Amino acid sequence: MGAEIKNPVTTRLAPHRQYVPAEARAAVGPYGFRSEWGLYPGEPEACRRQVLPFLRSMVQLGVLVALFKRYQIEGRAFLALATLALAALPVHYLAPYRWKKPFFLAVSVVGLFWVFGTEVAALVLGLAALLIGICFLPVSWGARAASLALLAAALAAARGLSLVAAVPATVWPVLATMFMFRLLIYLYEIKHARAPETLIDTVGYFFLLPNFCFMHFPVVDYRALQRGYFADDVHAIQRRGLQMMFRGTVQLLCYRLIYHELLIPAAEVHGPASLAGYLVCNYLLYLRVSGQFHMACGMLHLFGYQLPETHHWYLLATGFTDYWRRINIYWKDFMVRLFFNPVVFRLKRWPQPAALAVATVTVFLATWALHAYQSFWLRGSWGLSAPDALFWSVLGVLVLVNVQLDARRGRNSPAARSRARGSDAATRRIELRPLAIRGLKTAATFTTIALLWSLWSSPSLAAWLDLMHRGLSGV
Amino acid sequence: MATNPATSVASARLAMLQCLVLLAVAAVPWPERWAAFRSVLASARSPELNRAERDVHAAGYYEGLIGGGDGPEGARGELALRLMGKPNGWVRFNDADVSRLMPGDFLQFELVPGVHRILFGQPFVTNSHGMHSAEVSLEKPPGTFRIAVLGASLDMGWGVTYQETYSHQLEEWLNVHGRRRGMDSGRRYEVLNFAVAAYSPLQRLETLRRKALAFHPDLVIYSATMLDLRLMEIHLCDALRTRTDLTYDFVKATVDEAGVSRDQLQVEGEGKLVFKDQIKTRMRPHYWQLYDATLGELAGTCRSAGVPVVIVIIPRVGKADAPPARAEPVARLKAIAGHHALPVYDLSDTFDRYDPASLEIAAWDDHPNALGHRRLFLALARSLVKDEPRYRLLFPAARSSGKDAGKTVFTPTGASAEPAAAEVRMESE
Repeated sequence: MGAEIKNPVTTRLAPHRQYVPAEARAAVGPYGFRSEWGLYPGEPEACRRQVLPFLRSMVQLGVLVALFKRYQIEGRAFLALATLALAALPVHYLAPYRWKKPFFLAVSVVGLFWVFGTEVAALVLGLAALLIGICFLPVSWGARAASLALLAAALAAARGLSLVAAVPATVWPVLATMFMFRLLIYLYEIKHARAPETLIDTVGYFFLLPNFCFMHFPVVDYRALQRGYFADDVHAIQRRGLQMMFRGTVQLLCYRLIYHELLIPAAEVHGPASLAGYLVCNYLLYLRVSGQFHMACGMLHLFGYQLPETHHWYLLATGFTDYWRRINIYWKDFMVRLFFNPVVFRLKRWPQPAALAVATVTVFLATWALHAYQSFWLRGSWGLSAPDALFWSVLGVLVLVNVQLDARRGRNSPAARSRARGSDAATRRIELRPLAIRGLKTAATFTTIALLWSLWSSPSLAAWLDLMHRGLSGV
Repeated sequence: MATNPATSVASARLAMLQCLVLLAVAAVPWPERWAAFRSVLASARSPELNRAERDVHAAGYYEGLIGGGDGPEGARGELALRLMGKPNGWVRFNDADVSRLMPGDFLQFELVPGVHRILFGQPFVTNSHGMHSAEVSLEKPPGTFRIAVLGASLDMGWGVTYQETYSHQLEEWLNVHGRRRGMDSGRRYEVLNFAVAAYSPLQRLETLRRKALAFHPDLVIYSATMLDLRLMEIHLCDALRTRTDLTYDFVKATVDEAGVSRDQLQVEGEGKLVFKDQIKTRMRPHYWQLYDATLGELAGTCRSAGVPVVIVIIPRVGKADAPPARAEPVARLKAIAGHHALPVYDLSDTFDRYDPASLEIAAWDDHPNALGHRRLFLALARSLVKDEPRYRLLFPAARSSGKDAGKTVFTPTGASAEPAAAEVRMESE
């Protein structure tokens, strides 16, 4: 978000432009499966089948599933879907390329039924068919978007007012986790797409296997998902996915250790040391989110969907803009595509600082509102509170200031040139001063975010002030 | 946007090796003296709520159980439980129509007599007296030795059939053991399970006075748990909310001493205490004192009726009652029991050596399953056998000392004794 600044993360391509779709590199040789070993006729080179690399992936996935079972990672639903993925992977791997997406969709639907049972899954399928069907209506985009908005409002009212008592309560969050954000992205895509989207791509985008065990799911970008499909050698994608799943496992184990062994209740803070411990551990509970996101995206990789990282060393952010870019990257991209860029584009005649300021404020207002919207769909309550408002306001202001400073410094500032020099492979000597400054910046960012996080977690502003008072005064 | 760097085969191998190491760490039976490491490993493997959230969860759990309200934020919701594996038809206790509310009564609620339902995936049956056990007559048959068990959900048999409860297994063992050892002189044993889920120590005392004594028990087993203070708090808040007479002078005196005023007993439209948090804060420092007085009253009541009492300390499965968490409440319970000269069987370490997943009824519910109750029964029977006065009370014809009796019954080679055989079977699992 904002002007391109120091972070290497931002210098890369937008998510939907990162990968080349498999079709562009399709091997259209005249050979069939037997003569062109590992490929059916017309299949892309990326899905060439090789026994040894695939067996290696299978063994590693098997070991991971054993690890999930042994450590009881993320409940039985996750274990069930991981086992399903393990069973489905060889079939998916051997299936012809054109059958891979339908097969993965079928596996995802089986997963939905397995986790939630027939009643809930059937209702979710029916409502999903209605929502997706509206997207394909032969009317203008505006009419389709308005119809979906009306339907969403009706569903929200039905849920909030318990008008449909016969519908099990579980249906709403399951449906919501599939559609609440991805439908917005999909609408955005079909508004700007040059050609209509295929039904299998559309349905496959909403029915993603790991989504049925992780209700809080990364906001996967539609175009990134499609362009990343078999965008590299399938074994390389699988290795990357397994690596992500392992990283997710480690993060979830670290989360458990912090949650059980280190985190104290807020009521037990009585001095600076216990306050510091509480602030750090409370913030580190976020490891569960990043762990789950890694796990979910890793599982998609196994089936050929190459996706970008969801988090990137967010604990080491050196500023608030940097932090915003590193934590929940998919959310940041979602905000940039749907809010930041359109606002900046509309205000292109304004002075750049003003346009950036308005766009940043819009992004944080949208983020706040959409977090409440997410809370309503997943938990049944909007969750609006003074600490919540204050958290987003303060973070928004900090990022806003950071964006302005970064924009003013620009890419050609001496600092930027120094950084460029520093990153040059030819000058790899360790410079202590920049390192120390970077360390201080990281510590300051971490402390501020941990402090803000404790505010966000507090039931009320008074409770947070009381926590701070007890922590700082030692009472 | 960050792209993923390509993962080399070498780094994939390294990740695989790390996975195997993690698996091995979880599989190795680490020595018991490595308590800190075992605790860390248990934390890494535990899907339970932590201490802070457990308190909130306990509130939601029990208040949901009694009042039917939803748990507060922080407790696990329906969807989270579903993702943990909770099946269809796993209803909350108060939705299962097995208990009835009694507003204005100090007991507040009790089990409905004659229930036949599926609860937590298991048949839940109550007899005509509202006990989760087989039918018994009010009149004690001649030659029968009766034991009344007072407790809460762990003792009632939450998520297990009554035949699987430790109290029922105790009854079976007493009858078989006495007969096989030739010490019974025709005596039969009945263990009457008066435990009801979420009953606080005060409700257990009230149950003794109003129900159990009518059955003329010869021994009372009072079950204490590490949740008792929380249950006491919920019970008192409910009693104050429903304007129930607090029945016992020591309870009234404690509430007065805590400074709970009439103004703080206001109830809002939905029947909730307006100043509940303030009441809890005022009462909290007085709960152990109240517990002490409750056990004193219970001991006095039993003494007057000529019935001996035994205190047993029953643990939950998992981290909630792990050694560091239970150390203080167990010490306090023992001190209170000692204050009233009541014998204590501390069974709180019964589950320590075992994988919690094998002993709890579900990943989201730390009540012991059938195997957990079996272990509780074995621990209780072992304690009874080693306690000479109680052993002689149960088996007057026993000649050996309690110590010897313990050796006789539980020597692994003593295949004739039922628990000994069971012990051998279980230890070999």
